[in-house]
Amino acid sequence: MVRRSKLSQGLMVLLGIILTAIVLLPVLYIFIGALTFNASGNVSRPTFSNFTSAARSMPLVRQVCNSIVVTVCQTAGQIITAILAAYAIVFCNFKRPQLWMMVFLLSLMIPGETTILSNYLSVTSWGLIDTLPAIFLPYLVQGFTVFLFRQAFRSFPSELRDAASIDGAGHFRFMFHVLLPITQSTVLAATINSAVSAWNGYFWPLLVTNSPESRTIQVGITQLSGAESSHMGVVLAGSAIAILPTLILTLCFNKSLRGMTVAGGLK
Amino acid sequence: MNRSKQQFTTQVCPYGGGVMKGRIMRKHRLITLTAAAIIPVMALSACGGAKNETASSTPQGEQTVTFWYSSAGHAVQTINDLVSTFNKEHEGKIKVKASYQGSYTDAQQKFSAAVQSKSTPSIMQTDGTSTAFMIDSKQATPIYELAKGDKSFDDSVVPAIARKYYSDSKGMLSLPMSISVPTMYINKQLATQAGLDPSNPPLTFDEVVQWANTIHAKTGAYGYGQYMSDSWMLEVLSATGGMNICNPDNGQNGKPVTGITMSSDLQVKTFQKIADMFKSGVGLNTGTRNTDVAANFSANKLGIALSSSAAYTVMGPADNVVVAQFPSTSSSKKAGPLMGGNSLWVIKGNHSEAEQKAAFEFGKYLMSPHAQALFSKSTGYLFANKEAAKEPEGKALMADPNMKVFYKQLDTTPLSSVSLGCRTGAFPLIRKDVIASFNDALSGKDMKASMQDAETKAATDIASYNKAAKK
Repeated sequence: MVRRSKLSQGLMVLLGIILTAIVLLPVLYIFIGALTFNASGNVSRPTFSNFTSAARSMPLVRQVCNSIVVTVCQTAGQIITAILAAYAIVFCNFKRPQLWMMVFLLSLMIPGETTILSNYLSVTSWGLIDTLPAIFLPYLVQGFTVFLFRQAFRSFPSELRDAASIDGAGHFRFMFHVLLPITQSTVLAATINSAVSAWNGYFWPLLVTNSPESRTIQVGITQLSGAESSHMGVVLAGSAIAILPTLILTLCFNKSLRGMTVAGGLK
Repeated sequence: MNRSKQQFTTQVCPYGGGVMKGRIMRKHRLITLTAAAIIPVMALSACGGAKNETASSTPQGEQTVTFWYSSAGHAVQTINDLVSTFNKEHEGKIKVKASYQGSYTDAQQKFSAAVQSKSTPSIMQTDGTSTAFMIDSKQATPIYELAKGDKSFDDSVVPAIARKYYSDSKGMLSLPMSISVPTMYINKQLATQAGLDPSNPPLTFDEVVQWANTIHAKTGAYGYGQYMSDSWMLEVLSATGGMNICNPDNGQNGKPVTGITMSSDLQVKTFQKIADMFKSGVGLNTGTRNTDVAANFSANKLGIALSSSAAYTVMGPADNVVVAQFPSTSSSKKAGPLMGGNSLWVIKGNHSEAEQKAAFEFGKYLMSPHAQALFSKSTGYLFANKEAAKEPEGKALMADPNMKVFYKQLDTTPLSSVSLGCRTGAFPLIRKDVIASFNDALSGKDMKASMQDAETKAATDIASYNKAAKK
């Protein structure tokens, strides 16, 4: 550790505080506004009335639950399928693993907007409109997560692999007891990535659901804000509810998120 | 179990045995996996086609009507209340299911997808500028067809300009649900502080600029702010100058629109005045954040705001707001500010006649005086039914002198193609091009060149829309 003088240490802390404040400012604005703003955005006494107004105009709790269910299912689907796919590509000796990887990478190159309409037509013909599975079904597998895990598994030392096989570990035992504990940071980072994007989905849930009871929170809160007129405090209350879970998730797993950028390097 | 390293590296997934057995195993697994993949897909496709119901009659004969709307904010609670009142009154006969569908743009995209999957709603709310889009889509049943022989429907209760806006030569096409007008809000406190008299508001845009400069000079607050998230204000200022912004005839005479006019001398001069105010600090450029206009006005940091009547409920406090007629930019007799708002379209699709008639009943209910009065009270939109002024809520609203200004402006707008505004399905594209060019001009580019740029871009966009719509 480099020894720093008290002054430079103090300056670094100050800089850190300022940068934190700048980044946190929009989030603070939302929470303070939700508690204090009135209709035109002017501050009044702190109160929970905005939250109760928001809860009155739509089934808030139900929509938060819907969002949680969709996020859990979508994230679980993406992580499980990605781990299995990446494991197969890296550890089961395929003749051309690059070819299989290319299949997954191709899916990354197709923009989401091009598939939305055909997905909508499929979901409608299956009669799944206005149900929760319709929201997460097309997103149970994500090419990016496969890519992430494949990179992490590739840098896994082969000596450990061989040692495990010599000790008699089959595929699943190896995966659960050796591989995943070591690549834990990648698993956590990928989970958070998937969870956040699942939570933030807007247009697809809007498209496939109609009734307020089957909608997710992101769609629900847009109802609070009109094009020309809206109650600033209530809109911010809705936004506060919508960002709370992802905020908590990010704060709790901060270290692992930083680890995502070094997911490739295991050493 | 002792597995050799050899086995791990030469087989796909080892199950014991030699390499040969491994190969047979592999082929077996491949076939099993393929079959396992195909069968669910076949099963799911077999389910297809069974659930294409859009709205159906329950065994008791109750007709279900699906209603898609995009009104948000304060309007949502009112719509929910109106829907449950209607359902109670028509229990056993008609049941309305209302659902919010995002912004007008999102709802339109969803509608386009729903047309293909045959899951359109029975009745849908779109904004005024989407009138041409709905006509071109050929998905809606015109109101004049549904109203044939219906004595309870009287379209003379609709303000004249709104009636003409939503009609074609044969009659009304959609039911106006709410109306908004562009308007000018004056901050009483700031105006009086600057020595100006709010009861004698500026009548022309030049006077508005003078007022803005005075307010800024004497009080330090911003003198001028306007709705900036799309080019609506620029269109209104052109209309109050007596100009058709779309050629030919704003698309109001049956011929499809082929281009726009934004670079005439009058328009360039007016837009330049706005740009100058932004540059000199007299004007507040709120970009895409329209709520900032209301926020600054209410905080007494903005003297004059050109916005919509629908923003009246958030411009506060009430005793500090003076509403004035939208300023004109010329003295032409055809000139008049455009109206906005939204209307209800009964969708043809694969909906039965009974369903369409039920949807029309619901539409008529939303247009009834009581419903209109309630809706106006909670949203600040104006009545689409003149009789609503006689309702208790309507009377309470009309007691406000500011509201009277809105209605006077609506009633005195001439029925010319200028004040009816542009009718084309390519409106969102035009607006995108014009506001982009206007923002270019605000960053320093020459105004006339920017507007000519917008005209060229819009002409291309309109041409591709017309081609797609087979006009």
